Amino acid sequence: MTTGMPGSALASITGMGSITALGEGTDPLWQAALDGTFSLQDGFGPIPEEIRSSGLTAPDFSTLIHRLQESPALSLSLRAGWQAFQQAGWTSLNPDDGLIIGTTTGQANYWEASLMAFLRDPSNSEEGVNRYGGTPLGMLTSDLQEILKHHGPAQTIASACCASTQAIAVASHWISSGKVKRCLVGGVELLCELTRTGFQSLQIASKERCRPFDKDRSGINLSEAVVFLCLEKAGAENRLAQVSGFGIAGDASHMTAPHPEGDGCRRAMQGALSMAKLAPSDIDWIHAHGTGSRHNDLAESKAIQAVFPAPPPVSSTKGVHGHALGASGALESVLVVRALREGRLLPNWGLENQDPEITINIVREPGHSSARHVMKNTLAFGGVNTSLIFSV
Amino acid sequence: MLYALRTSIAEKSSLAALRARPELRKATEMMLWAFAAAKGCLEGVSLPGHELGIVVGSGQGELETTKEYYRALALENAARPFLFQNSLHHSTAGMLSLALKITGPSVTVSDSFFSGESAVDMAATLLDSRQCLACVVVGTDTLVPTFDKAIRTRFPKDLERGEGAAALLVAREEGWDKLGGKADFVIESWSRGFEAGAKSKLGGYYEADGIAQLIAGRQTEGPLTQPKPDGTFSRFQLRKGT
Repeated sequence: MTTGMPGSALASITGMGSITALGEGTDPLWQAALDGTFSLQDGFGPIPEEIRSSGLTAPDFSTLIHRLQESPALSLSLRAGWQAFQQAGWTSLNPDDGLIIGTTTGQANYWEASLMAFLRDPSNSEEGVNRYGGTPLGMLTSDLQEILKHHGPAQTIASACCASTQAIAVASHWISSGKVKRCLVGGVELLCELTRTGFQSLQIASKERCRPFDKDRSGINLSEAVVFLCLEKAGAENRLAQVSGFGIAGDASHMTAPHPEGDGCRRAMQGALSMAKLAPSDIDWIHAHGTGSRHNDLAESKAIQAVFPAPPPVSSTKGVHGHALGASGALESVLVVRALREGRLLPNWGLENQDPEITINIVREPGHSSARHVMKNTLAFGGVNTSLIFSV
Repeated sequence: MLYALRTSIAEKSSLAALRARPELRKATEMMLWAFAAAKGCLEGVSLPGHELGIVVGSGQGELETTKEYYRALALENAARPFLFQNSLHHSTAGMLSLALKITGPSVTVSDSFFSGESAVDMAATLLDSRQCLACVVVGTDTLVPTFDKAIRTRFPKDLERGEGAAALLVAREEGWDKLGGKADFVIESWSRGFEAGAKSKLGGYYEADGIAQLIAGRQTEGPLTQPKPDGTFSRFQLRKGT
């Protein structure tokens, strides 16, 4: 069954803001995705220091500068959120609006260095411990609520790398069900020693450019991103694109590897199609999770083959911006929305020799497209998979 | 209406026996608490794994494991992969999915004093969007002595902090019907009050214990107000089960 009409969507996306390793605003990210610029160093993609430390350009935040200087996650969130506000024409969040943040580490880099100093030698200042006391994960959302004077529904989703993908899904549902009128959604991930060293310990981090779906892949690249999207009712006149459906499903297979056949990913995609009332043949492009780890690449490609009798073109853009963990879903959704808007097909940068076990059509060069519906996948530790469908 | 089909509150005394179970041999303390609660509300429930969802709400998440990861890094310059994977907030939900063969959606939420309520809210979202037919909702937190003093700064001085886990099996009408048409109690709505002023006099309080408090007050007909340590509150509108 095919509909694809704007009125059948769940929600409109009307504004986007991003701060990534590639720069501030969605333009540098978009341009890099088009031309393949690779700026990550030694496999990591931190937000450049000159961007991280630059001041807020939004009004009304100057009195909070001390608090904001202490917590980059909070200040960068306000900056990216303000970009999204400006594009959407929003000036504030009302009590009947929502706020949802997806993150895995929240403000951990605010306290981890001094915590480690304390753990090395308890005679050191307890500052790190005390800092933590005020900033557990959910405080990022409640701090933002306090600054934005928002007294509406809010939620912090911490479902590993699916966090911000689920945040977009939940926000779409909140809007379509009438729970909120509008919703600000954020994906926030700043690298900390926990994630840097943790992924290295799992031996899946690469110092070279990640090469999703390539037989010579050497692992994933970790990166930072703070990305916000404004969501409003379906059919909004100023929409950039719409969310038509979503699916969330589990593997119950392994704590850190996906189901070998991509079982949960398959059901997540099928769930999204069902919600959007679309057939597999309606999907024009799949923006894959595509981390560049062998387990992920094989599982996701098998899932795609199981759902799509004739799979559409598939690309991962992590070869440009790296894997922003809990923020990856929001980050990559920005690229999907811009690709839909601008009629472009983004390639799978880094691919040289496609893994022979992967027979789906991986996009190698940027191209033009008249895509109307795009599937966006995310797979995460804990065996959870989330798929979104974006439509024009 | 959200039907609470089953309820369960984990007992600390049950955790030792759980450690012997093969599927839990790598579980953290918080995972054991969460498993005990989740398992308790799934006894006798027959539903395909893909029709069942899992939501974990926790204020602190796997903070003890995170701290141990940092300790190894700080003192031994060793990054321990096992501690890393278990340090994620979502690892508890992941372990529950594995151990209980839940292949529907899994989500972790962390919303400070409202983590339990937020988990119930997320379950309603998953049910309404037809991601699953029934959903296990777990609220859990454990004590982490290293951080206790710091965390206490967010609590009233006279409030006794605790740890624990509680779980609900919830469904909308379709799931309620499929699972026998009986509910322990019914949640008609819930809301969050931002106005400070509510006085908390709870003992053994943990940040995600909104579910435990909900179970304790489930015989209420009408509003059930849960004061939070920061003076705000949540309010459930309840009625007795059918």
